[in-house]
Amino acid sequence: MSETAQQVAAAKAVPPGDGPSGLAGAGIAANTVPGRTTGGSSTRTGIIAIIVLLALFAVPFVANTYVVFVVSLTLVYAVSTLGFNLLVGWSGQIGLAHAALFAVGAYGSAIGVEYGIPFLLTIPLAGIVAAVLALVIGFPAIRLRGFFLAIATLALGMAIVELLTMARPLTGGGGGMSVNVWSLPGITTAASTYFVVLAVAAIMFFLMRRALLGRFGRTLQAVRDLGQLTGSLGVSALRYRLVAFALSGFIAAVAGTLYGQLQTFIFPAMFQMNLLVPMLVMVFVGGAGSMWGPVVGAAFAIVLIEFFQDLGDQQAIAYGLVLMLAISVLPGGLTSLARRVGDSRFMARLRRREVAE
Amino acid sequence: MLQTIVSGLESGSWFALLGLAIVVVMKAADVPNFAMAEMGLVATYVGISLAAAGVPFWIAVLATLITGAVIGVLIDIALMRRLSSYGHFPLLLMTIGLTLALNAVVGLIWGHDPRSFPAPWTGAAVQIGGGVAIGVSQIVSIIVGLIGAVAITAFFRTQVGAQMRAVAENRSTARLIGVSAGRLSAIAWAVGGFIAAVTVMLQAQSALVSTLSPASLIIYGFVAATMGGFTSLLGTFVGGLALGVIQQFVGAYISSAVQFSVALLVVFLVLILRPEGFTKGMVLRDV
Repeated sequence: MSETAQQVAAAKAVPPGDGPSGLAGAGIAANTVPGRTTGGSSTRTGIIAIIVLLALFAVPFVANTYVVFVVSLTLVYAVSTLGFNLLVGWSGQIGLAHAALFAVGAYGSAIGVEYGIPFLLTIPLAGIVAAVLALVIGFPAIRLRGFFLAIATLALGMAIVELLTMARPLTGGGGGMSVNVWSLPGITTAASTYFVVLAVAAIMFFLMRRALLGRFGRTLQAVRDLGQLTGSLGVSALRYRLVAFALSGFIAAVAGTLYGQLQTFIFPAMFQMNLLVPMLVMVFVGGAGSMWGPVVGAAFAIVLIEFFQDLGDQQAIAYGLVLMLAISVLPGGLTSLARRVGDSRFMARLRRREVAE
Repeated sequence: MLQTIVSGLESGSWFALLGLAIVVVMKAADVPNFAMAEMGLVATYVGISLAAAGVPFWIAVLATLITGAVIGVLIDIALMRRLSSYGHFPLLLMTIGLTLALNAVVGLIWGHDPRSFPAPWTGAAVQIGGGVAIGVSQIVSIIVGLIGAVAITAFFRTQVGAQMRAVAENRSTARLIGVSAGRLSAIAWAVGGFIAAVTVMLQAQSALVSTLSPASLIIYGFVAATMGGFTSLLGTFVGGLALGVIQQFVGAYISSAVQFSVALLVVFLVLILRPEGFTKGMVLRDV
């Protein structure tokens, strides 16, 4: 009984958004509960992951091309959101160059393939290029706080897209360029692209989970919440912020290479605000700073996009209203709903009963 | 040459005014309002509709200004205020959602065709020596821009303005000495919406506005605000004017295709060289 009361009291005593720094709001501060995912259930998590992977592996054999495409796109966005979430959620920096770095991945891979580099090799290469670019962006930007960072990175991201438009000989300018689609022999192109996407997504999620639930993730959170104070612990806040920038740029570009393969034709206008806004929505809906939120966020955005596709002129208004409604009702994101239910008195009682039996 | 400068000062006045609106909201409510240009567009379209329905020009102008202020207050009370305890990210996203929704609403009600808000002086021009003619609407934009900047500066010297600066500096301390942060944020949003309405109306009496025009206007407004470090009113105003002139010269002598890139370059340079705005250090005391 007293334990339940304590839990409820603790939930009440820490209203979301009372984090130590201004940036650490709900959705950012109150989100990660690593103890719950690691507490003695790592084998269970592993089994679930394998089952999910097997189910995803079966998709091309049972579903039609459209479904395969949609699931591929969801996975690509999930990977991209993983990187964006690392920056916005885990390191607390609202950097808005993500769509542009995503574009760097798509263009980098397409151009690389045109110059004879094997596609699979262009995935890490484009990632490295984008990571270096993210460092260049991050170097002046990490010293700025909060919204200044947002505006600065937004401008730099726009500049990158402008550069893509201007580099006409390489990128085809505003008219865009077609992408050589790489495919495994013996199966359809859609299925082949799907398997590549699935493999890359699995690897990225595995690596990020290892990194974020370990020392690196904890340090990032400390830097986010304490800022320069971590200097007294021997942790350079600026260095960690910069590493978060580079890593998120790398992941964005990796997702971008896959996005190019899926779309088969890319042009600069694809990567402007009309992509950045859904990306922000995915981070937000998934819950900034959560581990599996990116998948939820990407799925939500894809469903929304597919659902509103036939609305025509009213599409934009629907997006705007749904976004506003979602923020008003759930300022901590969609995954905070599950957490809120889990933390409720009712669920706490249910859990206690389970333990007692 | 003179014509280019005047055109630059004209569009610069729009950028400066919108930048000032952004700074005012930023100071009191601590959010970069991406929907600022859209708020002005809604208000201006209300005014255009009234004028088209036969309402006298000045009454339509008054209605536009009131609409802008009311929209600002409504947004603050209905949407923004409840989010302020959740940190920066939901606030930022809310203004983006609002931008999409307002733009789509305008498109739904008024369509996507460009419109203008004809004033009694629209189309008139003043002849200056050397065969150069300057539109009266351009002069109106520049003068109203100046008046707006002076008025906002004066506003921050009043008691309400001083309280707003206090809230911007330290919210909890300001509340301890009896400043109502909620009332101030409503006032700031009203002032912001009012200035946004003025800005888009000035644009509409000289050129055409449509659902596409806020997208570039808001970027230039943010560039102006960045030049003032999001705090300095003088820096924002001068920055907006300078940006307008630079844009016009780039458009006239290089190419209008690179105008946007030049604006981005300006942001980049300002942020690298003087991240706190280029007037930092030039004033003795600033918020």
